[in-house]
Amino acid sequence: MKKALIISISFSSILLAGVIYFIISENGSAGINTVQAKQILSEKKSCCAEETSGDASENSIYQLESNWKTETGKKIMLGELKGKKQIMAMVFTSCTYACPLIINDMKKIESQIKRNDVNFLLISIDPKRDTPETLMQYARNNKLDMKRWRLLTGDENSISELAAVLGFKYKKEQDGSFSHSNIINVLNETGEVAYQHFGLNQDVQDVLDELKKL
Amino acid sequence: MKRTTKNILLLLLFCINVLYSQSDKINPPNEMAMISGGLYTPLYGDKNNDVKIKVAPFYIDKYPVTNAQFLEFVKANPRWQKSNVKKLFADKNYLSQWKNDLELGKNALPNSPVTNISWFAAKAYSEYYGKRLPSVSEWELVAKSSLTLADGSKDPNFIKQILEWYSRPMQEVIPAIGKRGKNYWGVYDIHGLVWEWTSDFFSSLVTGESRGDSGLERNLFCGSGSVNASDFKNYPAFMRFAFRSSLKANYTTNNLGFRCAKDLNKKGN
Repeated sequence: MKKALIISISFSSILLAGVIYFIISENGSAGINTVQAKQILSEKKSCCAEETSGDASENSIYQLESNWKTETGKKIMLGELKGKKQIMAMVFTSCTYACPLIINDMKKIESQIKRNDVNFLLISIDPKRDTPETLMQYARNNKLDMKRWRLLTGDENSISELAAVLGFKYKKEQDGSFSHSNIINVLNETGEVAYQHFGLNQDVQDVLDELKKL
Repeated sequence: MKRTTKNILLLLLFCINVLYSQSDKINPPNEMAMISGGLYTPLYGDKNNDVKIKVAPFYIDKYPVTNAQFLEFVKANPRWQKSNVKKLFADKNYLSQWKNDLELGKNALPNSPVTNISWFAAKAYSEYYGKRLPSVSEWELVAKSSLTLADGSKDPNFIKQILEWYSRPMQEVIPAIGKRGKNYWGVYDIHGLVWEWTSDFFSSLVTGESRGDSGLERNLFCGSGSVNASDFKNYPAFMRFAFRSSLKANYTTNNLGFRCAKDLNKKGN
């Protein structure tokens, strides 16, 4: 009787050890042997930029499947901006030098167009500090017309993908601020970059001219 | 009876211990080297010049990703095949050294680094295998080590070798990986075969305009008040910086490939 008990205990302990080994080795290795298993697993996983609805143009930045939140906290995909032209810039709200000037330039553009098929878009590159609430406050402080303006915040991956397609350079500094390019982008209705206006405090007539062509 | 049970329990504990230590040995993942981190001095520092960036420990592929490996990836992910890829994600030279969607052909050796690859393609590959691209800081930390030193950047011979490679014309068919010595970290071919993508290549803020090349223009780039480089002797670092600043995410060139990195396990082992 005792013997049987001992045998069953040792048998089950070996079994347990086996199970533990299996679990550990499955979790612990990412080597070539498990590549196939990983492939099967990751087939379900979507990555950076999955195929969107077929009608998106080849150059449309709306192909990016990144996730954003608006100033009201509503989740939004870039593709939802389709249908209107967008005057768009990447900024951060605690920026003291360039971003206020960029927004100023965008407001200048706004004041000189009468058509209502153009919207304005600010995308934050500072996900830590620019929460929807911060963006809303920023919009109020800058007296942005919320019928035309949208402010978006997203995760770092979404921001880097968007920056990468726009050729927008940015770098986080140790003090928490950012170095970044100053670009005002003109997007057409399908989300293609129709024009890019570089620099600060320059005549915005070029943007207005480009808008006329669209 | 009691004693036997106790022995069995002890044996069991011992087994678990052994197994745990084995799981430690499995790290780093196959074909990856563990980089124990360190300090990286960016070429163009912060607003203060002597800034050092602390790089946390990470894993990096020992070799650049090869044509054969990338072929496996596109087989499983048809949208990254030559004829399917969208222009936004890769320009027209994407994988142009390959014969077609699923054949390498004579200009792309299976065991050579894959090139003509866009940032998006490199990123998608990395994510598919549960990895990521290395950051500029991580890549440069690995790249500054010579065969014997973690920091070879003060060794004139090491710098000279890299410059010699930069000055040689690109071979039409890129040689195979792993034929040269490994560096201090056990990483191969970080210099000498192809240039490599980094996750945040867009953090290199130099304008392509000639008038801007002497410095950073305040009106084109906000916050870049300081233009002094940290190490004027490190020409290769300048060249890489300039190269990165000229890139866009859908660009592909015949000398630009990539390798993957990976965070250490969150448990800390």
